[in-house]
Amino acid sequence: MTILGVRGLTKRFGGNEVLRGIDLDVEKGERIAVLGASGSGKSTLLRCLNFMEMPDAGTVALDGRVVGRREAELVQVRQRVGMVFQQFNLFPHMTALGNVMEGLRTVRRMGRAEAAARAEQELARVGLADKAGHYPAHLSGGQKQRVAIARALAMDPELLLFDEPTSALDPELVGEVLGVIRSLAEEGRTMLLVTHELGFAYHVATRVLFLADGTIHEQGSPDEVLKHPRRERTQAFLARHKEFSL
Amino acid sequence: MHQWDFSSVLDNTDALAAGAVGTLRIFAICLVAGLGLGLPVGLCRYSRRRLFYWPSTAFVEFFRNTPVLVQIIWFYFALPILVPFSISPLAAASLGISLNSAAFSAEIYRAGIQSIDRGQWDGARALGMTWLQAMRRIILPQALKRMTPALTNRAIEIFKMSTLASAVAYVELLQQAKLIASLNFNPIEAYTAVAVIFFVFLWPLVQLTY
Amino acid sequence: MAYQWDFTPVFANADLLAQGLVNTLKVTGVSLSCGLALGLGLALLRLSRWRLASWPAGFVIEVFRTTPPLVQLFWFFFALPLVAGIEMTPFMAAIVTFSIQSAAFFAEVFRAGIVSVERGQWDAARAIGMTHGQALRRIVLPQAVKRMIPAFMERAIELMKTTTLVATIAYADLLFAANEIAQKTFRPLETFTVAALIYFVVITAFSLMARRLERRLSVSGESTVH
Repeated sequence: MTILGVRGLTKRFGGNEVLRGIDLDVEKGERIAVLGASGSGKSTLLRCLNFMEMPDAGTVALDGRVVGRREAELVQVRQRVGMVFQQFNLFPHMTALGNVMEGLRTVRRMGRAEAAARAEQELARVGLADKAGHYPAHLSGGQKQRVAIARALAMDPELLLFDEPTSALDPELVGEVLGVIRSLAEEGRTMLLVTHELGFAYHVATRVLFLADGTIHEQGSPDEVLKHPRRERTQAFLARHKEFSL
Repeated sequence: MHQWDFSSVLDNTDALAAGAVGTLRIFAICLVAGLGLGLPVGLCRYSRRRLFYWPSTAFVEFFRNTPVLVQIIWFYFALPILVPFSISPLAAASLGISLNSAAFSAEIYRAGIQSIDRGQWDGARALGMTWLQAMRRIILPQALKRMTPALTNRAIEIFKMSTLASAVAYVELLQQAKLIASLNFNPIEAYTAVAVIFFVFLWPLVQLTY
Repeated sequence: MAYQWDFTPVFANADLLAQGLVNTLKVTGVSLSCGLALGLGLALLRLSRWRLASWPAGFVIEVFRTTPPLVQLFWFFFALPLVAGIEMTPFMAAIVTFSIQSAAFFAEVFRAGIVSVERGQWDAARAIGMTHGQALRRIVLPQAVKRMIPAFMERAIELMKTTTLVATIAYADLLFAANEIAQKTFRPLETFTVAALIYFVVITAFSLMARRLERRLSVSGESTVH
């Protein structure tokens, strides 16, 4: 079943057209890797899908229903579409547990005990049950990102958006975060993943999108796009990432 | 409903003009004296020599942590007892406001100088400059640029503090407003007019700090 | 002939001085609390997207920052009763003046503090489905307030000094009490020196507390706004 239907998505920043009419259907259980050079619009695409940026034209439909512009509706959409940021964006004045609980308490209006129990579950799932009482300032980058993932998971999203989740991490910490994302993939979660980790994308994604100049330049299975790219720009992009080996 | 009538104020424009002159006079005196004195005091505060550091620190702490009005009153009522000459309202108010401003601006100077990278000192000293030469030619010119917003703020504060001189009956704008109000029984128009005058004077300066 | 210092008449009136100090602290405390609440309201109005809200708020802030406090005090004490037809005691005039004045200052501090919270925090809050109001209340404001504490303390200490202005409208604060005693005892030198010293001690004490608080805050890794 199609969770997300995107038609003609267009976004401009000033005079610059960053997304030029994107069409995309995301089926349940799909894991889509979004690749592209910087400035190709990958982050903007993700941010339009949960309306963190407002599209200038085009429609986004969640479970078949086109999403309108009213803030009340957007707030609902964001509860169903989770996002993990490159810069983690954890709330520094709350503990790890507090961060994960926050959506449940303030947005879902869950009781404290229930929210705490659920939050502990999610933290355990990402392997940080023992860090529940720690503040973000005392966590490593990899731990922070895992807490951020737990925070998104706590809202039971139908779709997860990862915006370059490991780009801000030291190399030795990348693995623990990718490990968590892989386990989520194995559970069958639907996700869109903007990343530069091409090896990870190859092994985990069910479909790969290559963005250039604000359009989907090429798409297909990981084998098709990453091993046998048909179009020149895709080939050029992959050639630049020579460390990519299968 | 009160009937606003500014005619009584307009009839007294010469009194207001005298007040404006008084305000500008005390502002000029305190601006120069305050910001001027603040620089050497600030340099002493920056110095690591105890001979300079402790007296300047005592000065700054005392004049920052006592209200200006108390200082003005002290200079007007208390100082004359200790000295063989009389202290005019202008002198008392100027002393209070200037010393207060010197203390505040000393800290602005000190912070500005401290914000200049150590490497600048190294470069200057390596050329054989004395402390004073380095300060004058290299450090201060860079620091002054950074201190302009804070110093402009200080100037604005000094301008506003001029009204405190009315407490010792110095002829400035607020004092004249009191006079006009008591003679014409129109405090609303009198004080509103003076508030507007101050606003018009200060608005451009305040905009500069944004 | 050297002047003979004699502090005994001053100490004989210590109770008057004490009462004056209490009144000074009273005016400071009440004005500070009102100013804080009012200042937050003004800041939120100022940040609002509706010009009907942000423009008047901006006007109030500008007027109260660009006119001298003493002029404001005189206006509220002498002019307002005639405009509004109400009775104004010196205490009321003082509270109204200093509350609004503090509010104008605090509004700018609040605004700077809120704006200083990085955009990623707003993003994360909205991404889990918070409304603007929830994000402000739960995520942004708590972080902003912590950064603003030094500026608040600075302002509180300034306010304690500014309240001496009430002596000019005959409110019995410490300066007014000192003036009364000086006139009674014909000892202005000793009286005003003692008054100045009392102010110095009290304000320095608060100042040291504020600096300690600021040091503790910066140790915990939070940047501050001034």
